[in-house]
Amino acid sequence: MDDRLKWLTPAALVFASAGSTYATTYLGVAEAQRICFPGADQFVPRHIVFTATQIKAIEVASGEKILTRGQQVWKAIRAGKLQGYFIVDYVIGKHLAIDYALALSPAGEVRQLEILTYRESYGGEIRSADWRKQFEGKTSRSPLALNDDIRNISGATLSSRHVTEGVKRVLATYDICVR
Amino acid sequence: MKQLLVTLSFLLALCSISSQSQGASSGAAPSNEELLKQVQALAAKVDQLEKKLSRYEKSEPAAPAEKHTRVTKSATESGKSAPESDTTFTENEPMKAPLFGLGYRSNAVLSLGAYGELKFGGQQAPGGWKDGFDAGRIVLLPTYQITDNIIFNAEIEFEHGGIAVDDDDKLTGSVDIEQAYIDFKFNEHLNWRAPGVDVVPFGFINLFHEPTQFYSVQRPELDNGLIPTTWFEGSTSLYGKIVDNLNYQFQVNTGLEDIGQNDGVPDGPYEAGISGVEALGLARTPVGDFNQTKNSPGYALRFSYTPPFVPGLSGSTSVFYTSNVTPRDAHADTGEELGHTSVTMVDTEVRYRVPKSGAEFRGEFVNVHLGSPGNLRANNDGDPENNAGDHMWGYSLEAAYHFDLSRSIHNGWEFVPFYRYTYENLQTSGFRGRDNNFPTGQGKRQFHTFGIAAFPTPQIVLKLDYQFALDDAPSSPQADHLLGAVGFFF
Repeated sequence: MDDRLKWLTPAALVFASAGSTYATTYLGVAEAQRICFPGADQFVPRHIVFTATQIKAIEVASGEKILTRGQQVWKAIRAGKLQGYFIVDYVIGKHLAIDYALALSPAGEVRQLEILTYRESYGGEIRSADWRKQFEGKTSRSPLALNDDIRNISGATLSSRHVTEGVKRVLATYDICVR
Repeated sequence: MKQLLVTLSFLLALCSISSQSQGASSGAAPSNEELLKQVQALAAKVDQLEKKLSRYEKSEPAAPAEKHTRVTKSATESGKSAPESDTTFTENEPMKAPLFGLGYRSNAVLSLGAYGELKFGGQQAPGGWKDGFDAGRIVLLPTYQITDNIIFNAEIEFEHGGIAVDDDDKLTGSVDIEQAYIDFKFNEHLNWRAPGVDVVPFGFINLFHEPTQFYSVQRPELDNGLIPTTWFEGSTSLYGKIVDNLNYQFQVNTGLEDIGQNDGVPDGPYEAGISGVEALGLARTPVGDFNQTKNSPGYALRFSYTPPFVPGLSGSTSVFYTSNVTPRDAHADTGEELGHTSVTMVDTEVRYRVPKSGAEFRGEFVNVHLGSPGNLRANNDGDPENNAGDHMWGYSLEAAYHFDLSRSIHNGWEFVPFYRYTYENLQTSGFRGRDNNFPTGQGKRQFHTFGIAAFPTPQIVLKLDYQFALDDAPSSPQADHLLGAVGFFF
């Protein structure tokens, strides 16, 4: 019986750690804004509510379905000068939502991709810096296709694919609604 | 729109009533100046509401109202947006609800995925070729995010068309709960999968076995014995990220058992769970009704990696150990009791997609070490041909090329021709036990599998392949096949 009590030790450790580190949101919006635009002194909302025409145009341009009524967009400003745009979006991974943020230059090039919340049990490899770095410099004219200009992560295929599709859609949104 | 107009009218009426009641309760008639102020305030409010209405009309969304409702509700429940909206939104453009992107949360929403494979074709058998059809598996994948950090997952599988009580219904399949567990997500480095039914983290296909993950009709041969795919057990796990590109999963499970039938060890003869013919194909422990036949747990540890210095390369290394697989009351056909034997398994597999190219390569190596083969049932069951030595092993090498026509043709398909070579040796040296030892060579096998997989979309695959099956037995195994399949995963 004493031997069996030893089995409780790992469980106790898990419960102890649970109390102190209970979170899966890696970045909040404000935190991601600071990371993407460290010099910005102001983030001015410029949110978009899509019109039916815009939805159609974005879907045609990106080949992706629109899931939301609009897009959360902020202008990053430093000393009155536009530094770029900060856009928040989500895609569905396998079953659950992946929240992410995209930082764009004023010309619409991707500066940075940040995963805000990842909920799935598998596929979290998309949070790795190397994978996210591939998106830097992409524009709405880039192919943004898995196994072409974006590397697939085997074992995280659905997350890789859907985030890539999401970025493509957001860049089309920028072109049609923000630029 | 109607709702907004009604709301507007209601607000105006409310303002009006409110101002009247204020006047009444003061007990004295308001002065002209006070009335003027009230009228001005009302006019300003009406002006503000008109502007809002005008903005709303201009941006009337086409998105379904249901989605909007869900997003708004979820965001309100989460409460996450409140502090952010204080700092990032101006008053004239308030984020009443983060309905534009971040707000969606899938908790309180049951999602149901599915995958399946339907197979047809011919298989060679000693009596000749047999043609037929198999509703191989239809799998339902419910997921329910209970909170941000507590997630329920399950995999409910209907195999070979399912089951029926009456024999004349001609359904001889099964319904399996292959996964059912609750994940507690603490942070990216440590998450806990509470005790439940889960696949053993060993190799790649045992974890990711949807038909879109491999190109052959049947699962790769190494996963049909050396790894008893789908290998699922009663288990609990810890998993997470060690560093970027390196993850782990450590699982304690009910382990394997050396009996190939349910309901425990009978007094008479019984089927071996581990043998030189089936490998570990029958050694999975049952997940129901406390029917496991031994006390020793199994331990599985898997590291998965995507090294950044070789873009396109993914792989994993897995180890499994259990100190004993011998069931309670295990015995030889001669009646003697069988002692314990341990099982140690190692698997390493890599998948490499050459960047910006259609070329893909996969390779896998599996080794199974049997601690005391003299105690295996297969070596004590009176059958001299199914004996197992002190280890079994195998490897496979696969090459595929992706022709993705969707880049040149609208709605174009992706075609993936492939070839896989597999070698297995299930009857190595080190035989012990009471049986005579006359392996026929059937444990030394080779498979040449080639064919094509076509993906109309990433969720659907149509497959066609041919497999040459060879072994070292005097007569060939006569187990070639020409099979087609329709697979899906969404």
